[in-house]
Amino acid sequence: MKKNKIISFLRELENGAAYISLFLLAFFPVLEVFIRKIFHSGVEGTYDYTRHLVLIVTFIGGMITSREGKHLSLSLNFHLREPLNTRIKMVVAVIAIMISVALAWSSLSFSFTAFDASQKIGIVPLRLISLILPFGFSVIAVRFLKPDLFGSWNIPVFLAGFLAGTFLALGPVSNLLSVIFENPPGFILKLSEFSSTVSPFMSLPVILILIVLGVFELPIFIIIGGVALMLFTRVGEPLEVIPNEAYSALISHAYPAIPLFTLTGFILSESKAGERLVKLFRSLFSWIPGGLAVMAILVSGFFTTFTGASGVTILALGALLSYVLINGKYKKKFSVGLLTASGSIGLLFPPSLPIIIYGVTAQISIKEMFIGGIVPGIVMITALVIYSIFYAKKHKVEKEPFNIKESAIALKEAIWEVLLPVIILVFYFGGLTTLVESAGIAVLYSLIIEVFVNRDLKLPDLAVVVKKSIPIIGGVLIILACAKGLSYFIVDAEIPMKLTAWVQDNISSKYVFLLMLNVALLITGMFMDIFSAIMVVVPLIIPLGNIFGIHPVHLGVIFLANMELGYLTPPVGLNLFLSSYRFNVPVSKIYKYVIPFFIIQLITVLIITYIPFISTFLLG
Amino acid sequence: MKKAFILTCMILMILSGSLNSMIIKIGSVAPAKSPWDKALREMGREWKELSNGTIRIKIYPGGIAGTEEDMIRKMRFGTLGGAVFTNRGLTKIYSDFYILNIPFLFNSEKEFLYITEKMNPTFESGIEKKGYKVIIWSMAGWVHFFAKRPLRYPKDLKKHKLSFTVGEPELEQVWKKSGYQVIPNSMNDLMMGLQSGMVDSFYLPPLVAASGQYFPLAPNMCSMKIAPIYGGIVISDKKWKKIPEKLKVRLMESARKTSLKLHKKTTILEAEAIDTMKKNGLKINDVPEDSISQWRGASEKGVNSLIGKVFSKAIYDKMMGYLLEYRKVNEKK
Repeated sequence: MKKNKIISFLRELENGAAYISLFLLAFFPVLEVFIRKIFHSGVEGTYDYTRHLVLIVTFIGGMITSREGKHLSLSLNFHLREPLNTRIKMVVAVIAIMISVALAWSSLSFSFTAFDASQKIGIVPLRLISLILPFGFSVIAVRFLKPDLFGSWNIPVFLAGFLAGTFLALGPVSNLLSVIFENPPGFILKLSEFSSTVSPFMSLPVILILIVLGVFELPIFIIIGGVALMLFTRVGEPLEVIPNEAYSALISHAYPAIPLFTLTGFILSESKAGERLVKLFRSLFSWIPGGLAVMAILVSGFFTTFTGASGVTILALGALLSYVLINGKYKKKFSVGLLTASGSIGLLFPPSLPIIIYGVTAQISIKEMFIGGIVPGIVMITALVIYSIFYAKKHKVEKEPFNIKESAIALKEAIWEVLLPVIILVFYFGGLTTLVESAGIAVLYSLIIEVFVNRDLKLPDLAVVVKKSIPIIGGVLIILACAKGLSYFIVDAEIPMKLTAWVQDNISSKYVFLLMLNVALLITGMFMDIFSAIMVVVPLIIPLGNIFGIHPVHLGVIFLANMELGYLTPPVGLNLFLSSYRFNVPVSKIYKYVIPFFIIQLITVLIITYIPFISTFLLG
Repeated sequence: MKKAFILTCMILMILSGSLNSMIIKIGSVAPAKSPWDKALREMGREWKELSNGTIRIKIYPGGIAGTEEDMIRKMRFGTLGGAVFTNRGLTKIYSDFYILNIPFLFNSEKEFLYITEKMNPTFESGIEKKGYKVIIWSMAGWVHFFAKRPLRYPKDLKKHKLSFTVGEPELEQVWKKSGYQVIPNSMNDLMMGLQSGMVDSFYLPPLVAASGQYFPLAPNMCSMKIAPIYGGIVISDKKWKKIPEKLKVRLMESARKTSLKLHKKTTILEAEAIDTMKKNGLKINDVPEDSISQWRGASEKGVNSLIGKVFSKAIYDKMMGYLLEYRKVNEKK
């Protein structure tokens, strides 16, 4: 009885911490905007606070996601017989605990080795903040246990995972001890040496096990983090680099926009905004064949152009748009597939951040890149539009005659929601706010309209909104964080350099090169986030592009278009995971849904690649 | 059984055996194929030769190993053996280095070079105490203001919205106390900020203003030098200690040659960058004689607030001593 009370108290504490950090995450950017407008100066350090709040939100969110059992996995549902089912689940738990424990040790050592005791964010020591990583991973590890299912096996399962994880992480453990003690216990150092000689041989088998267990609901972040862990183990590099990359990714400049736009999306989808917008969009667009689908594509494209294809579009708009489409008599399969595919479309239009960073990295004119991207971007969007119209005609999606009076009423009802994107755009493009601040304003605005203007949500409902959004925010960000660790292995092992050297020695035909480029970039797009990919891959393909006589702007367009496609390439394209979360559909189903769209996009990418004219003719 | 086990372990150790050879991974924010990158690679080749192949340098250029802050972390836990840092990274390692960021301190490059010659040993030992070895120092140009409208006096800057690269709260205070309107912004947002009008001025080295193509949106470069970009290659003690003493001397010699070449090259490059920008519409706003004291006056309050807080008074006094000494001698001439 007492135990239960303590547990429920701790849970409330955990929820409370999540609410407060998410609230502060929205609060600081908004505060910054107001102070700047009123006093012509900012609040000192808000930028640092905001970035580190993302770290905290991610890990508390990740813990809650574990508690709710909502970490993303492939979940194929084999319907296995007992006791086989339970046994497999135990194996999955052992492996998941092993990886989480190894990550927890690595992060603990990271906290102590990477930061100086004197480093602070405001008044809080950085080391203290970074302890959220080991803490989060430890709690996550414990939560892989299922006392109800495992029964008396619960403790052995935990011990097996804990010991194996600790063994893997003996390097970080001994690093940690040598920071804390002047003379760390000798046997630990010896054991760590032993681990570092044996573990590399375990690397490939463990990676194989991780991938196989992927189909038995081993969470995706554990697979990605585990593969990174085993690869670094294999080459004998410090494992602290994985938490470091997670940290670097989460505190990087655009990340606060992800949880904030997700929260905005939930505020809207939990209110009746969806219904109002459906009414409006239907009255405005459903007299055109495929009208609603076209609208969804354009809105997504528009949004991605200024969020930079970090998948924010799906999180922010996905629920709303899918609601609109499905209520507009489009099948779920089509709607979800379309929105997944549209989640990164728009990347090629100005002023998308990836284009700017590409221009800077490749040392070519950003203006020319902007101009060069326009037509290919239109080609990619047009292909989806044509398919959608074709689909709507074939499946006889109902058309409704246009009625101006009805439209006017619908517009009046939904006017506050319609203004949301307008406000974001005016603020952002009008130079009033940065991207992150716009996201903060979006949260504030949607709260005001749904609570005070439309009165769809009462203040207590907000807790429900946050409660629903936290597992998604945590689940998504922890995957991104682990993926950054894996990205860094690719950097550290100089894999792209080796590939380019090989190409230089073995390929002589321009078309073979382009084909290889397509394949290589597709794979890169699957595994790396776009910004790391630009920094790592672009400097390597530019000299190759020169050798084969490819126009630098064309090369840039090929690169970005391929990255766009990589996001929806099974099995690990990021948009697939985000969609699975946002639309509550198993990843395996998303794969099926996305196939027609993938094929269309693949064809357009090939067209863009092999017809340079599309990218270059506007350049004159 | 036990024997077999020990034997396997020994074989494994030999296989993994990095007993005599060593790879030093060096991260750098300088782009691949840039002079910095080329010079580093050349130094790497020399080091390999000098050490008979036992020391190999791997370069991670263009920021692929992370920002300077990130590279410091990677050096601390050992993913990187070394890194190329500018003021930004070095001040994070050793806060007294911040004195070189004091705005408008130096009258000329000659003056600056004199000061660094005197101060380098102090800097080196300070950085060494934190567990790093400075291999070479190098000067990589000056930071200037770029603005939308002509910019010669502090009062001109007060009419601008100055983009401030986040992560250096100390400098933010200096600008604020000088009465400028600063807008915290990340480098990635700078282009967007300039386009949307959120900011209309920034300060960067000409090389970066040119390569990032920011200058067309703020085509007035104030000739006033704000602060030097001064940095170098730093290697972690853990790696450096493993190198035999005799070899160290020769490696340092090779590094010093690299440093000299680099300084020459970056000077040329900076001039070239300014030339290219001029051809594309950049105007250099030469500051009148009377404005220099105004710039210094405006930032004095902010700078004074840093003394004893961000960097020690001792190091400030030491450097100012050398500076006055230099000016005395040269004014007589």
